[in-house]
Amino acid sequence: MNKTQKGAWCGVLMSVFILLIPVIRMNIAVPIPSMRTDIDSTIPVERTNIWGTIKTDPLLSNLFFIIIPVVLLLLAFFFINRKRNNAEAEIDERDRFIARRALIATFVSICVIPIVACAVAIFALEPQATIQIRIFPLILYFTYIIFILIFSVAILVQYGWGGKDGK
Amino acid sequence: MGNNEITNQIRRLRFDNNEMSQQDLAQKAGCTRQTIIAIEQGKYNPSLALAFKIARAFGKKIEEVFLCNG
Repeated sequence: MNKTQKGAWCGVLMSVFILLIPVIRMNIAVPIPSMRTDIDSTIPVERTNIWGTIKTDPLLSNLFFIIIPVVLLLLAFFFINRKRNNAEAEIDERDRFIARRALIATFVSICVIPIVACAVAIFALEPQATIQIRIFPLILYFTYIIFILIFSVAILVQYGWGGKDGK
Repeated sequence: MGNNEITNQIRRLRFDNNEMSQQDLAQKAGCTRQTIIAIEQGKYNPSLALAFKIARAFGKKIEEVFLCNG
């Protein structure tokens, strides 16, 4: 497994981790009446979502959304870019070719995300509803994370997931 | 990524050259071992520059290493 593949695996793990955090936190923070038997479902539960959680717990949000991904990225780059005494080239033209194709594929597919985000907002709420302006940077943030995920997966697919080690 | 119209003699030439390993060839050509494997299997066609480097590593002309069947 070469440097590009290791970077791609780091990208997959990091992006999946970051994308899972809101889901995990939302399920911890929000009791779901239909799925929980230990609460009285007749009591109206405040409709809380990830944005509400961020509002109530900014410290944890910053920790999860900013610090941990940054630390993970730094650790990943530290381990991947370690100096080796091996005389073999670490990256060559094929790796660059694969990365370029993955980048093109990612840019094409990433265009769909803002459209999907808008569609979700329209269907989840109503066409005349308003949303808070702070949601837009979050959409961009998650678009960036999904960009990393798609880019990493596109690289791994072209390498054959690295399991065969090119054999 | 590969083009079946272009074949190569890298595997045979490696064995003709004291069973040169893929790692040794990669070091001489300045590429990764995975790229040598991909070229040998016909999954990747190298650039002209890399093709020249590989041919030079064997002390051969480029047309003795890479053959175009088209």
